[in-house]
Amino acid sequence: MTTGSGDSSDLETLLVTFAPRVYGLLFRLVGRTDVAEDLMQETMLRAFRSLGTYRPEGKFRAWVFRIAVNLARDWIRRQPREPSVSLDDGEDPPVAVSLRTIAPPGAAMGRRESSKRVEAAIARLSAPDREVLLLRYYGDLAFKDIARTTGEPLGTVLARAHRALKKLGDLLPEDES
Amino acid sequence: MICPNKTEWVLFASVELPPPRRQAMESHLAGCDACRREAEDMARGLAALATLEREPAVRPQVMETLRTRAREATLAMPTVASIWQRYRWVAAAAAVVVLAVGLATVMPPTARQQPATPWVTDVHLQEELAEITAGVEMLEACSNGKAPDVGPADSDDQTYDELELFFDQLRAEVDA
Repeated sequence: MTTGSGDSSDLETLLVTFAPRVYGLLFRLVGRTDVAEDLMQETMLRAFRSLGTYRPEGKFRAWVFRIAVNLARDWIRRQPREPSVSLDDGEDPPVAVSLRTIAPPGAAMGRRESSKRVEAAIARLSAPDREVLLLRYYGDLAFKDIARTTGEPLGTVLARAHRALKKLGDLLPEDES
Repeated sequence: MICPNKTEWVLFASVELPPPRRQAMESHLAGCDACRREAEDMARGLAALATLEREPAVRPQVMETLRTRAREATLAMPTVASIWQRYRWVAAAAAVVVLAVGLATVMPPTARQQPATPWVTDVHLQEELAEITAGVEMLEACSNGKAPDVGPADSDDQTYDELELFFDQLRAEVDA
């Protein structure tokens, strides 16, 4: 993308490139559509304001997602308690319920069922484990970049990813992989 | 090859390993059931993750609001010209200070501090001059009503007589 001037074409490039994925990440981190929309806007505005000072040697994508993660963390910290799910109540977690509204309408039934289970499993992960997986998926970041983004050692990030992927993998029948 | 650390299978499944290491691990998989299960678990986890909508649609109203806010932010951004207009005097003063400090730093010490060379080189003349200077200072002090500090004395009268004698000699030298 072009950087350096902060003009309207930069804005469109920024929005088209990042807004949906940043929104997807934030939505799964905070579990609320309205909050994810607000935080996505704030992320995009902060990134846009900094376009003039951005130097291409940095990883712009990682930087944008770090802004998003930090905003989500701040929001979660301000809440009375983290959006979490009881494993015993038998109901869909709030995150999974909300996600149905943005599920692709034409998705195959089998895939939709799998997706629901994955959404529920992701909602049950600890916040740091969830962050790592979502940064990998939505940010398309390499694990060493995720380590920089989250401020954790690479070994810790990989351990989180291993634990989280194992839980998600258990949800899929072996023939689906 | 010993079994790789389990976290390395995360990198293997995510295709983030250098080719030589990846090939070595692939070879290892052929003969190690435990590692093969580990690699399959990671691949299945990534496949599960891929069932999520990766680019969920953002509501058009939200995008339009964002565009408006971004345009407002652009207008509010200070330009280089406006920053210079506001702070040009501060910048000028800072430049003067920096220039002065720079000059003081660059100039050689000899240029800043002249060595104290006496203007009279003869030793005897220097000693006489020092005595005359001291005498003149004492006379000035006495004329101002301040007694010069000449150290302890046996009595006031003796001190006075000595001073008078000393002053007479000095006056004669100065007149000469």
